[in-house]
Amino acid sequence: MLIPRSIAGRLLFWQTAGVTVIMLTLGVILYVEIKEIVFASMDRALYSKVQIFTGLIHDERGTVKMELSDIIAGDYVIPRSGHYYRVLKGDAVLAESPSLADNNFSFAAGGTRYSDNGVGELYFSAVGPAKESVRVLQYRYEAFGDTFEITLAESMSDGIAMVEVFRGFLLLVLPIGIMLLCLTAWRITRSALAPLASFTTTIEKITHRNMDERLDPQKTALELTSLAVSFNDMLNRLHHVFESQKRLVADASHELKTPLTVIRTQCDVVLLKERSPVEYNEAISGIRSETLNMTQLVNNLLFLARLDAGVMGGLKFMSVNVQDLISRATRLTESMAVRKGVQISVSTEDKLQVYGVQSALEEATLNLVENAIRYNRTGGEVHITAALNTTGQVAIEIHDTGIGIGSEDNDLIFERFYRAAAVRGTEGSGLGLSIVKSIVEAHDGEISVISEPGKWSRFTMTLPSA
Amino acid sequence: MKILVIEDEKRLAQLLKQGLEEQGFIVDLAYDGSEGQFQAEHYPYDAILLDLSLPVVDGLTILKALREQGNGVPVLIITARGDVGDRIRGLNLGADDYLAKPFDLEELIARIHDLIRRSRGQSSPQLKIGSLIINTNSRTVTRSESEITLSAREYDLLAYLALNAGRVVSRTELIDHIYSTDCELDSNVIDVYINYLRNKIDKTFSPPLIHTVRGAGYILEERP
Repeated sequence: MLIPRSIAGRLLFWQTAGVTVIMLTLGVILYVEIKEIVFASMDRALYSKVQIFTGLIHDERGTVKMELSDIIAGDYVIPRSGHYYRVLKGDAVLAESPSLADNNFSFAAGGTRYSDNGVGELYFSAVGPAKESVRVLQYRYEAFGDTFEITLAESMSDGIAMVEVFRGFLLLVLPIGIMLLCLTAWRITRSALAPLASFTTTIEKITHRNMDERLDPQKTALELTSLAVSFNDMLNRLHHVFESQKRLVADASHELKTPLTVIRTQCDVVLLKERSPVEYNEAISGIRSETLNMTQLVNNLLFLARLDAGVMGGLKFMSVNVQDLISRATRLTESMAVRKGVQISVSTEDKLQVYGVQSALEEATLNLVENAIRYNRTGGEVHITAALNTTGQVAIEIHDTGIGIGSEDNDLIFERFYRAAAVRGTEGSGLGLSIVKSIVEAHDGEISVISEPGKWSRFTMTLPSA
Repeated sequence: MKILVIEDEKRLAQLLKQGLEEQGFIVDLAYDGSEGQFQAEHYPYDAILLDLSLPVVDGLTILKALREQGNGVPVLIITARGDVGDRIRGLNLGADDYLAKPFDLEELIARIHDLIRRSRGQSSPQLKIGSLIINTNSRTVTRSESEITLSAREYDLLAYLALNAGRVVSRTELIDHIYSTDCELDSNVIDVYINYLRNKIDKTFSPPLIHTVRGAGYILEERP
């Protein structure tokens, strides 16, 4: 059988099945028991009558006789009354009830519900002279030097009628009972699941447009509270991701529009009138440098998007030499440092290894060193150190003597596209530090900064040691 | 016509200055919000181009402050923030127009012209005073259907007087609107240009349209 998928359906199915089985079993047991009791009581009645009959058989001066007293004779006199007896002495009939009417009628031993208890008592059911069901006791015993066989038959109609009535009662009561119980089960199921329905209604109302709506765990059923809480948690996580994606797209389009506007305006200005070759040259150079900015911006955005998508997890983590990271960064920034007259000094502990993706860690280190030079004062210094810290992690510190970061910007500089007021309008996309942060976090590391505005700042990147 | 451009992207600001100046505008630049707000509050401009995301003080704050001070200078917002909410907020705060980046320079120029005209109660790009017709789009001037050639400065002076036709305009006001803010000039320079103008538009035609109001300035109007 197909078990329904809905909880209500399942509850109802099992409750109905349980109730039906229990009720039917009870009904059958009751019916069988009642029937047994009826038969047993008839058999007992037959037995006690037989005892009376044995008492009625007596020896009168050498002749064995049986006399019926008037008290019990009544039922046996009326033909086919349902009460019969026949007494055999040896093979001869000693006495017969007039109710048998047809003298040739005989009760065949056997039939249904036959029982022989081995002491000359045979109980069985048979068909009587009036074609009625009768219960028969055939009783053998020895007396007066002869064998007697008393056959007593009593109509079962009363007993059967009683059993029939009971059966009818069961057939009527059982279905009604089952139906009532099922109805109750349905009501219980419905009311048990009502909170779930309202829960669903609330959830259905939440779309990407009103993602800040939450379920109220105080208002849901106790059993659903934890579900509501975890659902809210899930919504929070989704909402956060959704919002940051939305913001990223908005910020990205905003940031891309700025160089686009410069390019467009540059073109429009140049096209206003005839220009000298020098002017055209300058305009095209300007456009070219804007497209370079845009390319870098797009590359950074793609890099961030890939970091967000968890690409780092698919890359090969391995032991990375910290000194290599730092020397690569200083090598690549050398000309920039020379232009600005910035001195770079490095002091690292020997044989430091971190566990991570080489190319990503190179990018992060390079970004930090570039920033340290770019936002330094002319003739300033950059000092890079790397050491194991007390928790067994590798801490890489990049200390500069630059413009520093105001305390209000401390948390914001790692945000995408955020640019402190002091550096706005200068080269840079506002993505460098958020890329560093994403890389470091993908390595289970940490990035932090302390600074004294106008004097110095120190970025600390902490990474797990290999 | 003097315009203030408040835009933190320096490359763009300088390009706008170049483009607008080549179209005969006088352009002052401000690269951040506080500088822009100071200039807008202290110097008379015919229009302001305002970027919204600015360092120090953002564009909407400047706009709000100007309008609260009762400064009705036409403001055109230029921003990369494209969403309708910002646009509505800007217009509600009293911006006169809104242009999304990246924009077309010619459209920007047309809108500035339009804003300035409307702020002076003129709706047509053609200004008419008697038989004198000034086309602000093509920067051409005709009187009695004959074309008059003016230098850039002469045109600026005439256009400003025409926009304020029927009103006495002082020499200082004229200097404020047709010279860049950092120019330190004697107001006599105006008298020199007025003289040139009279020679070109009033000398061979009648009646004269430029009139001197003693002790106050000049007025451009047709007197019966």
